[in-house]
Amino acid sequence: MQTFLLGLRYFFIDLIGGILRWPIWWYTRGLVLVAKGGKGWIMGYAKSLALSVWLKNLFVPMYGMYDWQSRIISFLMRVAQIIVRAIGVLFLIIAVFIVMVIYLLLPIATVGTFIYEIVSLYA
Amino acid sequence: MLDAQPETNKPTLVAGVPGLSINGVFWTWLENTTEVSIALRNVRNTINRVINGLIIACLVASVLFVGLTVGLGDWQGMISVSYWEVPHLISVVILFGILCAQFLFFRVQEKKTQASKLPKNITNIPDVQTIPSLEIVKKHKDISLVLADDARNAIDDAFHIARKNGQAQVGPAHLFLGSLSSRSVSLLFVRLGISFDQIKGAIRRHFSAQEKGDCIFGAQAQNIVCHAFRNTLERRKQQVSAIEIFMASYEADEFLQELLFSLAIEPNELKNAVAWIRINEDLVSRYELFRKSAAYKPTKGMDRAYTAVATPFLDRVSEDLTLSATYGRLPMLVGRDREMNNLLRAIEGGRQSVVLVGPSGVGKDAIVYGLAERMVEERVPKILQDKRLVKISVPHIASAQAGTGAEERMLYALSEVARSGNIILVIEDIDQLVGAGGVDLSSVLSSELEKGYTFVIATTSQANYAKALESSALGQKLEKITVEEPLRDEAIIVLESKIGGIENKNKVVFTYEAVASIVDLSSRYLHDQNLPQKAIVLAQEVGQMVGAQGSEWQKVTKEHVAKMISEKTNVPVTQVSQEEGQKLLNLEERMHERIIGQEEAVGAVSSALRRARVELRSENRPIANFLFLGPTGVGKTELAKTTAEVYFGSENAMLRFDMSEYQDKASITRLIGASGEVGLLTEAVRRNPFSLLLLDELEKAHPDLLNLFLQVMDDGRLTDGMGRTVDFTNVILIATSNAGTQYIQDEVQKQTSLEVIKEHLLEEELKSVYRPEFLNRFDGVMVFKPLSQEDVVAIAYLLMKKVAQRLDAKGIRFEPTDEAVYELAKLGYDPKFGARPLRRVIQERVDNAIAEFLLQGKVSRRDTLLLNPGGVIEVKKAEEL
Repeated sequence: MQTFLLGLRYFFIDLIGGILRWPIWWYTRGLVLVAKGGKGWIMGYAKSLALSVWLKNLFVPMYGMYDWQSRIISFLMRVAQIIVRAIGVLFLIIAVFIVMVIYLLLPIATVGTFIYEIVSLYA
Repeated sequence: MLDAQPETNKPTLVAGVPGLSINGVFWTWLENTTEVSIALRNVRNTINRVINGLIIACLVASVLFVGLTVGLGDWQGMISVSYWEVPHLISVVILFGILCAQFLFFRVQEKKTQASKLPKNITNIPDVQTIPSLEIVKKHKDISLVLADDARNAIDDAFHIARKNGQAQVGPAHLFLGSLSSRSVSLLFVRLGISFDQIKGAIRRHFSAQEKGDCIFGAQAQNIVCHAFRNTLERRKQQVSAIEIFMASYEADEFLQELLFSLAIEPNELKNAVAWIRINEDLVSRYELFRKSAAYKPTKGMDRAYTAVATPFLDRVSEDLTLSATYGRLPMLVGRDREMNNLLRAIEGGRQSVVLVGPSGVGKDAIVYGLAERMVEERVPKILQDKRLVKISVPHIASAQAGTGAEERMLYALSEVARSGNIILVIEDIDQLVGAGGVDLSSVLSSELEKGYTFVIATTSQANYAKALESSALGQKLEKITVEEPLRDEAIIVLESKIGGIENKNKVVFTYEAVASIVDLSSRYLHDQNLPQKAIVLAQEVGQMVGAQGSEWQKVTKEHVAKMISEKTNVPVTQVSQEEGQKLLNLEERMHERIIGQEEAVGAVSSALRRARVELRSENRPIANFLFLGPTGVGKTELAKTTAEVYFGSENAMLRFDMSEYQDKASITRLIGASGEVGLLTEAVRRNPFSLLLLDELEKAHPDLLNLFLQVMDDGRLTDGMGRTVDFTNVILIATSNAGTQYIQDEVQKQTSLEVIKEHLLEEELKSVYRPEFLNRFDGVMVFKPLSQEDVVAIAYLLMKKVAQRLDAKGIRFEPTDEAVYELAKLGYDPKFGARPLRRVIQERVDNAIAEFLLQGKVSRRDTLLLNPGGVIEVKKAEEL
């Protein structure tokens, strides 16, 4: 019986405490967590596209072709590659940004709409 | 006074707070562990799970509700925007579901971020210290927050056990028992082949002797947890696990050490077994990390900057190791940190090109594969980053078209390497390049290396390095890195990392004892191979043998390994069974079935064999060294043959060298081989390392040869002309000598005791033949006394028995009368030649007569031949059937 009462106490403390902590956590630690995750995602993608390697080798001819025609083609190719890859990374940055915005707005929007709906449904 | 001071301080220190100070934070046990606190935590954990369960239930209910409403309701109407402008119950439920999902996300993530982790990358891990009180440190942290679930349970269980037994505080034995229920420690017990029942009684007695009272989680227990924490830091793990609690309690308590010692588990063995449990966990996490980084490695032979060139010809004659590693086809490297560091250092500075030199099977290739693995992860110096490691196949280049054009092909392959610019070459057994297919490709490679566009990681053996590379132009360009055979414990750990695969393949379970004995026995008995490979191969064979025995998941034990080794080498290494023990104890009787008299010699040999069989002999000398002295025909060779039969299973397991053939100095090279050649003795022992080495008439050998045998008796090894070390530690060395024969015969006649004769022989007679230090190397010098008339009679009976055995095979019985045997003994006795003339007499008088009977057809199956005095043989016909 004692354990049951204790359990009941914990249940409400944890549940209500959790509900109270939730918004604070969401906009502090939670935000940091999601931002870090987004950053990791962008970095991983950039690494797999090897953007920095392409930038570093901008003037190095591709496929070991050292004549001047090849060098020009290589340079142009690399510029094109860098642009395409940069666009890829940019898209991901935008996507992550959108996710962040959604993350920020989601609780306010859901709670707001939820209250509005209930009020208008039953009032 | 000064001496007394630490004593007065001690109690305060012990009663203080144990912990570790890391980067200004004092890590210690802050939790007040009591029965109530454990119960509260359990209730709280349950409630937490209940809340999460409720949230998930709400979420599922919302989804179901929405699904049903859409499915059963007017879903076409729902598509329109206007539907959602008016409040509906469904929108409330959807929003509620989204809220539940967010709340669940919060709860799960919050718990994850709450769980503290151990500090990372600590270079100097301090020892556990005890401070008087927490007030003297600025910052402190609770170790209980970094416990893994199994460690948490171990501590709770330990507390329960202590409390149930009414003990005043939790001690090492409680923590030890508490950790047993965890998966890793129970697996450890399976590996060690012990069960709880074996330790139950001792632990119960130990508990009954401990102080009783209200149980607390006191300084002693806290100290153990702190040590477990420290071990975890050393292993760079993020949470303290149950196995660390187990090890820390074992290390802290003498009783536990004694307890496991009584079950034949010594501290070092336990450490190796624990390493096994850890290594499997490590391999899994290493593999996961590896897969992650392998995703970034290009797989098309191109570098990431696209500066490389396709290499169609090279691809045909080579294997891309980085590619194989990326696809996870190469085995992971375990240990070998020192060699890997040497390799990376050599590549980074200096000549770049390196050659790994070491005997086959020590893991040269494994190190190269380990490098490929690191290149995939890019955990390598800059010069190796974004490169391919390509193993070129020398036979493919050299042997095609009978060697013609090999140089061109080599140059072509190298030119592709040059153009590509992202290739590092691996050449296994680089000595093959020298004189491969009649051409010397090493000079081609050497001049290309000069240009500096690539470098080589090569492997070769010590002998081939000395022969083909050391003085060549190519050898000058390669930095030598020696790869030694790993030590016992290192080899055990390498083997442990491979056991999982063998177990799954053969559906068996290896005990630690089996793994350790694989390494021990293979290093002792399989001399022509090297660790760790020979141990891995042996483990595969033993696994297969046990796996084929019927039921699945059988335990592989030490006995299985010993049986395998015995089968391979014919040497008894299995544990002595009761029956065999009895046989060994009665060895003298068994030997006397073949040897008449010579009690002293038979006794000494028997004792030496018994010592060898129960592993009480020294392992870096031959099993035994004996010198048999005495006249000819008294049983010296016969005793040697009997010994070979008793110990090695057959009298053919004897290598016999007649030393009278090695009287000049040049005979040394005949025995051990001149430079580049094999020797008669060394080759014979190398091929049959488990045999009896009989050196007949040792006194006739050239004196320099005796020095050779001095070394054999001392070190148990010889180096042959090929530079190989031949192992003599599994031979029984018996030398016979006729030196001093006349003296022995004279003194025996005077009835002087054997002891006195022997003493005089060693001190006087033999001095002119053998140096004292040579004689001292023998475990026993046995004097064989001349045979008496009675001995010869006994031998005659033995020889008659042999004749009977031969006739028995033809279905004919043979019965010599006593008078006939005595007569033969009398005729065959010669004090000078011992029993030797007896054989001839028996041949002439008995064998010849029987042969005639057989040829004349006078005797047929079931008949009996009677031997009467005067060599008269009569046939007793069997009854007609």
